[in-house]
Amino acid sequence: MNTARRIVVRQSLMHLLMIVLVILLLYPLFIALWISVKDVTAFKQQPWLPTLPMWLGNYSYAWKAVDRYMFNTVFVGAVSTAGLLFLSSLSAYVFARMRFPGREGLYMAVIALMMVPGVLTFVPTYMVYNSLGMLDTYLVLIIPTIIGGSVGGIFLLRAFFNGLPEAIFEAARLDGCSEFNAYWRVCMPLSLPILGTLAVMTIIGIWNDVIWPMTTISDERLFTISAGLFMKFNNDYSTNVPVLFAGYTVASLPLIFLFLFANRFYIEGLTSAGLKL
Amino acid sequence: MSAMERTLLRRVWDARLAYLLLSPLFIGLIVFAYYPPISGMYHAFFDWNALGKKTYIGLDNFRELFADPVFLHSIPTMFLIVLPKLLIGTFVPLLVAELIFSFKSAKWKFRYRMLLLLPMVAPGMVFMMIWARIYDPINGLVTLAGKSLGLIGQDQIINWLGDSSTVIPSLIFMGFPWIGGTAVLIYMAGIMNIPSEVIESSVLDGASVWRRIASIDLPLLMGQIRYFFVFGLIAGIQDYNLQVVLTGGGPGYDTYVPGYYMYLKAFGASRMGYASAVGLVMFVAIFGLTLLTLKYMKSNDDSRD
Repeated sequence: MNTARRIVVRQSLMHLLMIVLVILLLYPLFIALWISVKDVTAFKQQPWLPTLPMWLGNYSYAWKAVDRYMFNTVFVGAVSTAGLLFLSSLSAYVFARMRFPGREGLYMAVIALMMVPGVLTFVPTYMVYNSLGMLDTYLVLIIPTIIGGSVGGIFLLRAFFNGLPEAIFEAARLDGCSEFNAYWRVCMPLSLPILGTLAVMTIIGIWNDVIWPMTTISDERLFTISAGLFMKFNNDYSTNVPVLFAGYTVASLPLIFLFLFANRFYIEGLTSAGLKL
Repeated sequence: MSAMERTLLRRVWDARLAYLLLSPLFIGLIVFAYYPPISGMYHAFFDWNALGKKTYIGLDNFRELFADPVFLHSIPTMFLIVLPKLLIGTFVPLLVAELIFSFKSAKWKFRYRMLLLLPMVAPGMVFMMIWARIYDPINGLVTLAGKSLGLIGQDQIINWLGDSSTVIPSLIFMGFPWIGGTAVLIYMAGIMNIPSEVIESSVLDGASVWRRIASIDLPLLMGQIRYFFVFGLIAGIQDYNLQVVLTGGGPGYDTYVPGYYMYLKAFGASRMGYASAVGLVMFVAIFGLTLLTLKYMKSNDDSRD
């Protein structure tokens, strides 16, 4: 009886500790939420706790200022994530499931690119896009995600595809399934969690990127969200902090939907990937 | 043509579909992944501007780089920022993963994991802007908390991000309690992979939780610890988002790191060749440090591989 009570007490203390940690972790998010509905005077007097009345009008100013960046980010995010998923899953399938001379060598040539750090490639990559005349276009935002992301994507997906039982593929081939259909109709549906993980990581990367867009894009109408917030919105509304935070909240909305929709896939894929070194 | 060559050609021809399916990947990689690093290493020996005009200058870029006090000073600064963040980022999530693992209720384990992922929904830029407000010298949260705890005098103004003595600790403290994101999840997956008989028998032998963590969990999680440490180190050395968004390298040159130095030389001064030389030096340093780290952090899995 005594030990049982001790366990209950200990579990409760652990819950208490964990709840404090979670509150500290999420506090900055809540700050953003309630600053976004203050007026300027209320913000000056009490920035760190919620106050009434709520000024929802901040959001209409903020939305007008960031809607263009939101559209750009959703467009760039959708195209590059779809491209990345297709290219890396197809290539990973070939490396994992098909037999051909030079397979290991070609795979190593792809994986070796993971050892090349961004600092070595940043400037020359900029110059490649410069000489191809792609600066200031959507392409300079889309291609790096598809091509650059495919290296890590292939690494992640090949390991997963290798783990699928060969018997399924043999059965499909015996039934007259073409190689492409074995990839598209057998392999892909079995790999949804890991594909979801890769998609979420890619979209978050695009949402967070500041430096590459602000370097390669000078036409502000093409900025993705983080670069647009940093290069334009922060300056335009520097005297009206609540509107700034309304803009930050708007910028987070699509990721909130992504989180609600995909977090189970994401957790499942992430935990099954068994990341270690 | 020998018989062997003919059979190889035959096998290549039979597998033509595989090569066809890989061709989009390799066309893309050649232009956008293999060419740039080679171009960077080559142009490190040139005076090369943003218009593409170049002149061979031998080792001049490197001589200038290693004589520039701004660059030389940026190296220790980088380690002062990266190493504490790396230790925090590797071990705090491990402790929290053990904490969550110790909950008896599977439902709460799942809920806590979900809550830790939630900060993902705010772009990193937004987080940095929020923390900039938290560090506001006059009515920032850190200042208010310090005053109410009596750590700071009522009339004292500390410019957390603008003062040499506070800027680096402030950058490290950012993101407290450092447990958001995927690290805790990956550690938890590792802990759950430890065979339950091993953990149960440690309990039967009377080992405390701390003893179990030290003698069983830690050795079995070395693979994950190495993963976070090595990739955290590689990413940390190259990161200059904070400099671009928050500090501008300041105050003075106090938060300059090599990556930021490279960025300014390329896109502020249009010296692409010089910036490529910085990139090449950083590449060599990262490569060496990675090998060194891997050598001194031997994985327990090595014997079984």
